[in-house]
Amino acid sequence: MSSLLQVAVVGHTNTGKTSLLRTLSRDTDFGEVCDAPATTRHVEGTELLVDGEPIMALYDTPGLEDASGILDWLEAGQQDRHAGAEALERFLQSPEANGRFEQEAKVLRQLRSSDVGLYVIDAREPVLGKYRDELTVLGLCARPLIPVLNFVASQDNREPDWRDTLAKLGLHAVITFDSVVYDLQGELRLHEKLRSLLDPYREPLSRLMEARAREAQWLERAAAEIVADMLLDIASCTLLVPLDPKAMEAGMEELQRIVRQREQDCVDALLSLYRFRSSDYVATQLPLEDGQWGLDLFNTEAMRHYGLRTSEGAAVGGAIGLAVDVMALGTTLGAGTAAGATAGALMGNGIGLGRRLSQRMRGQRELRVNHATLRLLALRQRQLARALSRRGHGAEKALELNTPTDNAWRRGKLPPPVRKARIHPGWSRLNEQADDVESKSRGQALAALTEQLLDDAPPLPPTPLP
Amino acid sequence: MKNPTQTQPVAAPQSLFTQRLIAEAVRIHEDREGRVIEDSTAWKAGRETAGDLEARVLARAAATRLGGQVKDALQGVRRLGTWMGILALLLAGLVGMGAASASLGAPLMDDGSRVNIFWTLGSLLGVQTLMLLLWLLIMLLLPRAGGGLLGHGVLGVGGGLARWLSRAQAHELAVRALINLLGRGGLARWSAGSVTHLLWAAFGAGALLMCIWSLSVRQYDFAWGTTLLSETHFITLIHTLGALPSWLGIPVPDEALIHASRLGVSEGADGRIAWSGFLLGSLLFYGLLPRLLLGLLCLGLARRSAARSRADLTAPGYARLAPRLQPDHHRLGVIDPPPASLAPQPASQARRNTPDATVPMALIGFELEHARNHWIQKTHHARCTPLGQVDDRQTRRDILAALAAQNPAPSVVVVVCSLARTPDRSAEGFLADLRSRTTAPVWLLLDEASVARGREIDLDARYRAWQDLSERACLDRLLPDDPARADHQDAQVLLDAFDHPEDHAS
Repeated sequence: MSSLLQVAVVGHTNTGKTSLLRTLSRDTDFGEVCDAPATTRHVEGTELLVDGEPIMALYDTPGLEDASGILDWLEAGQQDRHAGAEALERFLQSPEANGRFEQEAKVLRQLRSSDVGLYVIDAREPVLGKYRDELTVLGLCARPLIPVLNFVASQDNREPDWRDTLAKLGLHAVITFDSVVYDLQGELRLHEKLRSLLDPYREPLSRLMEARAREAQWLERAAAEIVADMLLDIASCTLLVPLDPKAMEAGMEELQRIVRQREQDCVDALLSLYRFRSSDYVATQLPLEDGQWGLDLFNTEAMRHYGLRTSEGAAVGGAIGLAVDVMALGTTLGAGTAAGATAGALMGNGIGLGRRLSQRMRGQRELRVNHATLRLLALRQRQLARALSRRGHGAEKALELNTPTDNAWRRGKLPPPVRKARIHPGWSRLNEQADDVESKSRGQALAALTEQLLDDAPPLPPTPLP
Repeated sequence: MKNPTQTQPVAAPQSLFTQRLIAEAVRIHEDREGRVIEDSTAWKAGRETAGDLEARVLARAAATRLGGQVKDALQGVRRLGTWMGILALLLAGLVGMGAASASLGAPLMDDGSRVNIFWTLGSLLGVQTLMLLLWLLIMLLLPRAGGGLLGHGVLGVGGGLARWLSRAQAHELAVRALINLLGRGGLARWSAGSVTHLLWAAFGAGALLMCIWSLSVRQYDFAWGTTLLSETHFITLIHTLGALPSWLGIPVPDEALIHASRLGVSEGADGRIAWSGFLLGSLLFYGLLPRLLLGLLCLGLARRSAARSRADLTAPGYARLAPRLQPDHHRLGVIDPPPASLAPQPASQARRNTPDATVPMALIGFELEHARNHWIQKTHHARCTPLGQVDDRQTRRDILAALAAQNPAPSVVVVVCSLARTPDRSAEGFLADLRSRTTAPVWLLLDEASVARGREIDLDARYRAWQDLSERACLDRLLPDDPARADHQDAQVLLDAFDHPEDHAS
């Protein structure tokens, strides 16, 4: 495969070359990333595949650290200052290229054997002389260079300074691409730039861009569907328990356990969908720790974090977030007003009075999660899905999710598919009699809820074009 | 159905549909079980299939053991479906025959040989024409829901019956998958539509056959009559209906015959052939043929949408397979390995720790964040001499020259570096160079911790990296002792350090 596009990722040490590679290749495990100098000391490659076919080979290189030293060395042995290629050849043949400048020589050799170089810049850094020296040395390789401004999502970046300097050096095709905060448009612009520079690779690069755009759309939809599926499962989940208080308590715990597990399954599915590992979240920040939500679902704190009223469908017997079907016919629990509130909340759900009555006759009652819990579930899973879609594979820090600013799911009625699920226990995989999971009506509800989740996602902020 | 042609490209769309059925069956099973089938050969088959995600999902499903069982079961299900279809068509045909014989055999008044032509036509064509109009209306108004009640009902009953008949897991899954796929989008509409129309076509065929049989072996007198309507209406209607059959050469009654056949006008009129032709032609052109054509059209459309329908890849059951089936990268491994070990640096002796307090210190800024406004530029202290800022090769040379020009030589050379910078070998080279060119101790002062903090840099790790560098470059002192206190506004920290050399951390 000699016709494969070869791209060398080069740059100063600790500018995020490996992170960029991870994000472009969707490979969380590639290389080693650390906020320290010279984390990568070797050249390592990876191929980007579309439908199993390689499109381009990317090479991660060690950081250039001493470009100034190379220029000094070249100047010291000054004979042919202007013959760039020859000077480079002389340098690579010299003993220093295997000694003091071993790391730099690796980079230059790799760039020379590639079609194009991506020069990664930490845009938060001031434009120092050493970076200009690096560009001079890289220029000796006579390969097109595309400067990639990394960390542009950071507040104190110096993008204008960099653009200015690069323009003075004749590098106008500058790309901003944050390897931590993923942005599809940024990635597409990068490939677009490569395509305009390297005409022979126009066709594979177009395919790559198409595949990336398609994939992003697919991911968004699949993520919404995973969340919708979880919501339907939990909304229609009912647990039948005998009337005595002990059984009630055990039942509540059981229901909480089931629902927690279902939420965790959803988190796992989302992480796997976006190709992250749970162990990516070993950091200290809330809410996702070790791939789990830091705040338990049945915790008033979690409700408050999302600005939800905890009183909706008040809890009985200390179990938060559950609704107990307490019929007004001779309440045995004596839970008083709280029980009344719950019963009221459930009445509002329109859950079949007949069924509840018949269960009551048989000495059983139904346990289910309340509205507020469903809202909380929807809010935080939707938020997680969105955060994952905006997260580069080079990100090393834990996810941090703020209180959502929009009112979707927080106020007003629950969406019709969820309300419908309330009266269809057969829709829930969590129930024992889950015989309608494959039914057409559930499929329609799932599709409608997916659409709704996709719709109420606020549009992503427009990316500034260069 | 077990023919070798199935693998030929001619059967490709069909077999693609089969593959989707298998994948759907496997998905239903996995959904019920709550986990995916771990079959390494199947995963491998999926990964190694060229093409998009769907091709891989299908290949993986087909390669599982369950997939194989479902594939076998599907043949049985197909056979069952075919038989049930034939049975249903036969039933519909029988019903049509029954209806025809009932309407022809219905005694008009006194004897059984006189038939009211409109009564017969109405009973054989009326209901189904009404249903056809209803179908058209639904197709036009609700294109997503249409398909015909009869077809949906028969498919539903057939599906239930098939599930009841097939108890084995693979069979049950195959039926379920078939129902799921047939019930989706355009396929549902057209498959139900084709069942509806073909059943009505069978009804029409049955009725037609029965009529031909009855008219062949029995003698009927045809008549018509009305109480409310006018005669001309009937004549126009008969002419209109008869236009198509007569155009194709089937004998139909002329006006005189129509008048002659009016009830009570005449008895035993001839022209039976013409009236029979009219009846049979109407049944053929308004009953059997439209339904047959529509049925075949729907069948074709159903096949087309079966070939076009794709697995719903965003469904959770398929989406979870994607990361494992579609590799989007292939690691090439290490191309150019790292050096076994870095060249050891020659150790150097620490220089005098008690510098001469009467001689000023030299201050050098090294790659600082806001170099022009940095405090060392503004230091005009008797004991500190700022020499300038290092930024590129030229300034390095200038600074080294300025340092060499200092007379007397400074008591200490202090290089102020930023914690926001990643220490690199270029810095190390400069510091080592600097130290070799002066006899004074060289100190490294780390500054700008707030900038580094603003970028969420781990200060301790960064400090350690600079500490390593200062050791490699054999610097004499690293300030401050604590990275958190590395925010300096003036040279006081240096003077303090100068006055307390014992604080020096080894």
